[in-house]
Amino acid sequence: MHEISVLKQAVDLAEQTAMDNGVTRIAYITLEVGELTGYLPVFFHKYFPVVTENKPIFEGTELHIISDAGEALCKDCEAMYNVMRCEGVCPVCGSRRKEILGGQDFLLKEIGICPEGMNNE
Amino acid sequence: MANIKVIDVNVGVTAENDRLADAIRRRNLDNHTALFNMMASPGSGKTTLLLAIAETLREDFAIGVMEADIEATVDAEAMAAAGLRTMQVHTGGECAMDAAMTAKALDEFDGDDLDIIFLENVGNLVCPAEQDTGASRNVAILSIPEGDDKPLKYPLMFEICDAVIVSKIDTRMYFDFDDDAFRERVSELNPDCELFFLSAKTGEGVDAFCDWVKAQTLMVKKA
Ligand SMILES: Nc1nc2c(ncn2[C@@H]2O[C@H](COP(=O)(O)OP(=O)(O)OP(=O)(O)O)[C@@H](O)[C@H]2O)c(=O)[nH]1
Ligand SMILES: [Mg+2]
Ligand SMILES: [Zn+2]
Repeated sequence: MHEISVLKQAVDLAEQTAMDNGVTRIAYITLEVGELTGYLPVFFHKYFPVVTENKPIFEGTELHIISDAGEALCKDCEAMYNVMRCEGVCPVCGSRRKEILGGQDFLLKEIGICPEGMNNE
Repeated sequence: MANIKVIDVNVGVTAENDRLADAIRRRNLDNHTALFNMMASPGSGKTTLLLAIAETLREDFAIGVMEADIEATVDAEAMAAAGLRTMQVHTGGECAMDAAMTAKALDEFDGDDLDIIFLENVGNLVCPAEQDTGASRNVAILSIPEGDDKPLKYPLMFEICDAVIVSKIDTRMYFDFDDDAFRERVSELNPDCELFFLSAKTGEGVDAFCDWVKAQTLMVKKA
């Protein structure tokens, strides 16, 4: 459920960026979803048609999602580990003190445009 | 599909929200108004606590309360009955307030003359933490019955807060809430965060939180 409002923001951002670039039809958008954001890609796919409804620029647009792993560096023994898989605990020394190295962001990576989807000004 | 062109965007999706939130913070600084974003699960005691501290705070400050809910107006009615300037914001199904909704609510509330505005956010430990509302200070409330493990399950909420309140401490004897474990979990996520233990029912610990609100308000007003 909480995916829907951030997906709306992503779609608005893509729409604005596309219009700023004279794009009238988007072939695909790529979102990068950090593992630690708690957003589940399956819900993005489910809500995408709902959120883009009545927006002609998104007609036939595909949603691509790439995942960014939630890696951390243990502050006590300097081991690198995956936060999700290890449930936030260093598998080497058992410490919870860590520096998160990635997986917290939610980005609009790129917008793909068909050639016929450009305004020729 | 071979000749598809690509625009490299690589921008955080919340960038626009963050920009709006910063604008709200600047505007509130100009108005000498401190906006406190109160976040918690449903029923953790937000409304009861706000009613308890408003009593004391209004001796020195002009206070307003914005109640954000998906539906209903009962909390706003309780605030109004206590003589507080209040406004109900309906989020229209959204699980949290974002900066655009907050900006619109602030315009309608017309509270530029207020010293303190409390925003009682939608009851939820996940979504409110993801949306910067432009508040001057973020406060999370967790009640004793919810358990000391919540920072492990909802880390973002505890990371972004300036203060965390453990409420309903009068119910301690029925639950096994471990203060030290909780303190440690919060400080791992957010070492600078202030921690308050209080009961809005008995009044225990409420003054300390009230003093913090006053100090933060004066800080905003002097900035
Ligand atoms: N024992 C005890 N009960 C409390 C305390 N604070 C609030 N309550 C009770 O907890 C229930 C919920 O309190 P509210 O203040 O309505 O909680 P809320 O967080 O505003 O709830 P929503 O806005 O519905 O999410 C009420 O029955 C309150 O009387 C407290 O310090 N101790
Ligand atoms: Mg309430
Ligand atoms: Zn380690």
